[in-house]
Amino acid sequence: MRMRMRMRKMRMITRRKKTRKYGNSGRHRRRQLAGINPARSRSARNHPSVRRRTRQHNDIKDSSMRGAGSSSPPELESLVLKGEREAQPGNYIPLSFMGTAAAVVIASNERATLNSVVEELIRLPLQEIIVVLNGCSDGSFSALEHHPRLIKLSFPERLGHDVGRALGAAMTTCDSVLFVDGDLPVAAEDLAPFLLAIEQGSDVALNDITPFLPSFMKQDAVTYSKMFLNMTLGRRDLLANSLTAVPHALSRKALNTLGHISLIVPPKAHALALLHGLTVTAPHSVNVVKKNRIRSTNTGPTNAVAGLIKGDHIEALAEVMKACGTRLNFTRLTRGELAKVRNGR
Amino acid sequence: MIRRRKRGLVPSTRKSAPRRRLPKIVNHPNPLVSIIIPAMNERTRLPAVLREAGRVHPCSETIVVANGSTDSTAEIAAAIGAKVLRYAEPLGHDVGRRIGAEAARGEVLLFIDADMIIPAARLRPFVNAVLSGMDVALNGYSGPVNRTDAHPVVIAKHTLNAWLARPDLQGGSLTAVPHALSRRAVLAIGSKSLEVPPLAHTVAIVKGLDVRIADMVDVGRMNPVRKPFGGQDPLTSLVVGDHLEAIHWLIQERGQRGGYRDLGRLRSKVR
Repeated sequence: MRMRMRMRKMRMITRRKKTRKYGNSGRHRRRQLAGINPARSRSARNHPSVRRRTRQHNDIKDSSMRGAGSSSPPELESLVLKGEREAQPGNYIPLSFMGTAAAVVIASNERATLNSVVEELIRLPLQEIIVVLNGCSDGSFSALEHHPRLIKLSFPERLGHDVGRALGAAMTTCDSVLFVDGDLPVAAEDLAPFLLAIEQGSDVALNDITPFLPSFMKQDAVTYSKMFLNMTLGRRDLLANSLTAVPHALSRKALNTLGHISLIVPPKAHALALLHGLTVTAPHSVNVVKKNRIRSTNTGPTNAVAGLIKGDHIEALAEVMKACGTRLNFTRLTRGELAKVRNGR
Repeated sequence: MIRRRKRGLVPSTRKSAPRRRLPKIVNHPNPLVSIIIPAMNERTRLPAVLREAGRVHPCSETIVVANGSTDSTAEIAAAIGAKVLRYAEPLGHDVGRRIGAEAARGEVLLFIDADMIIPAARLRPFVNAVLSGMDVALNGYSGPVNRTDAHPVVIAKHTLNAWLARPDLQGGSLTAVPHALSRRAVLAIGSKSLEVPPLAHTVAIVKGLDVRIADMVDVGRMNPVRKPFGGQDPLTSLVVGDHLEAIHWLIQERGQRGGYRDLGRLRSKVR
């Protein structure tokens, strides 16, 4: 009996050792999650974006040392501490991209969440982070003051849905652009796959919301609309994945082909991308359905946002019909010919 | 080999094989209800379909639009007592329905298919709905919907109803039989649109007709299994194309966004 107990104890110890092998290294785990070989850390560290970050890290350290000597005011101290936490080695994801990458954040009175959204983005090797503040009156602008690298576009009047996205896209010249919402903090590990997909040749990398869809009879008008648009454009396999949902990423080629103006109506940009034969993929799933902020405008059967999205899809189809005719690629076989095929003897 | 001889209309002289007697239906001289049945090579199911049609309403006429048939479809229909419109070339269900509707004299037009035997009791709710004031009485059946992904036609029907702001109709559509129209609805929709069922459906709703689901008949189970076409059924392609035509009409009628606002987007800010 005692023997058996000892055996079990031994086994437990070895198991603990096994887990400890990588257990301490959060960085290792995160790198694995992001799909990077942990052994390749040195090459990643030599990447210019990463190198720049380490320099920044040193600068902050210097200033903190100076701060300690000259009794800095408390708010500055907390700011420095925050900066130091961001720059901790291992907190960021050292991906090595061939091209440059940018992120566009759309925020409209999202003070509470905006900071954590930006903090996740800082962990990615991005050249530019553009925050579009759309009619913010809650001090979102000042909430971002301690992030020196951000490009902030502030529009005091409300631009309306998705207009900010187009404005942000027009600002950047990077090779891949990631689009996120300011109300929905998504971990950097969940954002990296979209940029990686662009890096690997996709033009449009969509959020794969398929795992979060209920059965067809429980779906709503917005989901039907997305499915219908994909189906009519010959991409039934995309199901309800659409540029309407964040996060998603676009390549430079996609931005040049679609034009940033078309991003004002995301389904229109989506339809044009499929029409122009761009490579549209859905590399990763982020549950935005569950986490989305509940507002009076996006709930209930007659919600205004659902109407907006339905209108967007009709506008998208109108655009496609201009290019390909009313019936797109669907049969022009006359009804009589079809009857002959089906009922002829 | 004599036994395998094709059975014709001429009654067999052999007493060993008694033939089933054909049902008899009577057309009312002043019908209230017109039952329209397009048929192409349907001589096997037609007698049973006509028998049920004859039981729907005492004051009715039954119109069979026999088209492109190489069997005795038209002869059987005439022998049973239906009004028969003969067309040598195949027309398809939708054109057949339109032609039948043009010939109909009733106040209520009930549309059924010749390849589906639906009991009269399941057809009456559609006729009664129109008799009590409805303009378009739809079948609530919309195809299998218990999966994440649905058939293209099912998606198309749900989407069109959603865009017409009629989520209550779910997948109900004029594409599916049985359905009944009032004479008012036939006139408002017009013959040309009647040939494209989703378009007729859209026109009826946009013009403010009373379009509702009258009953639910699971026609999916009744539809005969057809030989595989190798790839996608061309009918699917036709029906989805029809829905696009309906959406095109909606766009022409209500504008680029189908009448939906864009919640004050300042589009001119982006250049």
